[in-house]
Amino acid sequence: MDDLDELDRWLAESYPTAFRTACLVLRSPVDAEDAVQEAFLRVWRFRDAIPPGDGRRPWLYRVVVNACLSRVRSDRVWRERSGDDALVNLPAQADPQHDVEDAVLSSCVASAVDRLPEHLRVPVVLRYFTGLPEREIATAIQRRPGTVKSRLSEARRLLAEDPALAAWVEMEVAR
Amino acid sequence: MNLDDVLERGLAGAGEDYDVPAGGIDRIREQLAPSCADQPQDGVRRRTLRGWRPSGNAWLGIAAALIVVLIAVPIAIGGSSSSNSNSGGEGGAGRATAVGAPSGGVAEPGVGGGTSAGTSGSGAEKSAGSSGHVPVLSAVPAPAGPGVVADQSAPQYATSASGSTASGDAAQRGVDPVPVTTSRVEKTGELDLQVSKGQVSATLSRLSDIARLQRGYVSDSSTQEAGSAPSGEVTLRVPVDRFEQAVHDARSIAGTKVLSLQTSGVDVTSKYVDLQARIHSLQATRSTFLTILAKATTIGETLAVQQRVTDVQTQIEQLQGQLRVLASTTSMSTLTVTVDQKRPVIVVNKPHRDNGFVKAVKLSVSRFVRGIEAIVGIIGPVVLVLMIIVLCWLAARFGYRATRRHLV
Repeated sequence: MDDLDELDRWLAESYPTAFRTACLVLRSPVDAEDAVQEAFLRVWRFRDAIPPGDGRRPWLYRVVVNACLSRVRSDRVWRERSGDDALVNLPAQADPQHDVEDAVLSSCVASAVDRLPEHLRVPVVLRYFTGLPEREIATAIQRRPGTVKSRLSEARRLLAEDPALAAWVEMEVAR
Repeated sequence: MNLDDVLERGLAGAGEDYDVPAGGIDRIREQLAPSCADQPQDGVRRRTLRGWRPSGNAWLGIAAALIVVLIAVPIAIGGSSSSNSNSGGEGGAGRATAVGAPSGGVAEPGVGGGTSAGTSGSGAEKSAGSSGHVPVLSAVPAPAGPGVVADQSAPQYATSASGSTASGDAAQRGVDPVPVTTSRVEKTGELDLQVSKGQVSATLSRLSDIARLQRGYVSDSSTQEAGSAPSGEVTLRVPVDRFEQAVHDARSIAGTKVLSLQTSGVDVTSKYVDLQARIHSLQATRSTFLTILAKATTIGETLAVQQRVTDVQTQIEQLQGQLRVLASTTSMSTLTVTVDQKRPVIVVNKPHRDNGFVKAVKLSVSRFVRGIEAIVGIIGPVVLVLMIIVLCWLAARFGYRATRRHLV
């Protein structure tokens, strides 16, 4: 990418999604901001390696995920945080009924996803929050598409066994 | 709404709940500003070792690389070291045979050696074991019995710088200087003679005459009269200064043909002088102990000093024995002469019973066996190379993943 202004705009547009993806992976806004900052700096330094076209989005999330995993593995932030801390970090919601339902659903999903092992949590976040297709997830986590598919299937099986999520699904089906 | 919808909605809500830092992207831009000025536009990677923390895969890669190095280095070094050890072992054996074997004592580096070291050693062993005639030089002190002080019989002392290092050692130990010793050289030789039929005994007799003529003696003799090829071997001990004349006379015997001649001379002067110095030092020590022993008042003191005197006396006797053997081998040279009868050349025409087909089958079997041996012999290195390749591949794979992970 030769146009630095275009790269700057693209990074600025991608920052919110990348930050929230990192938050869901790391469960800490502070660590997520550091990880995204580190990832974006790497993207800028190695901007010549950015693939053109549609390949740049999975490449960006690959850098972000690697930065998150590096922080998890080197700084051991994952050990220092319990699952409830993520819920504590969630901001309070407004009073309307719809917002309350969304807040509860978000809490249930976030806590259920948090309980997933790392190799399953990352594909789930990239798939259901970031919206990457399986092929791009494979690029992001540097695994084969078949591996991504099997991990997502395993993650769905585990999430379906979560009582809160199962109740939500039943309630939505009943509606 | 199924699970996928619930996950999408829930994760979207969970993600939206995180407030994006207002100045996050601006802080990144602030950090990019100096890096843009410093960073070359060609995207060359600049990393510091402090900033790099190996991940699990990186550690695995490092471990695999270390394993490869640990396997490859001994293989690379093993071949040369084994050859060095072999050559060194042969050289060491040569020196030990030349110097240590005759006396059974201390073999010092720098003394002896040479291609004919083994020959001289064997000759000395024969002389010491067979005749028992060991001339003792006047400079060598007579063996003293335990507890007896043996005085050195009027030794002459070195006054020049050629007193050797042993004199310096003796001076440092506070004992008398080392007596002057002339050059000490062990001379040995091996001579193979071929004689006509029926001349073995006569030649051996002539060799004995040569030994007596040169004021020496025959230390060992053996003959093999039976059979179609009689032979004999004599070991002559002649004074060192007559060694060359004895060799000349032996190879000049009429009716003989010299098949081979090998002589060697080993200068053992330094060892001889060192032995003398050590004996002098120990004798001085023994005298001191004896003086202390005379002044001992209690039984405990007497026993303790007596034990020290006994130890020193034992060492003195051992060194005197070595000196005696060394004096013998340097005063009398050893010439071993082997006499063989000329053997008629018998040409045996072996009938060729095998026809062409049988020979072809035998050749085929022989080549088959050699092929199998070659295959078995090559399996080991091939397996080793495959192991190294696999380890290198694993190391490269882990290293590549770790590098890619840290690069992007």
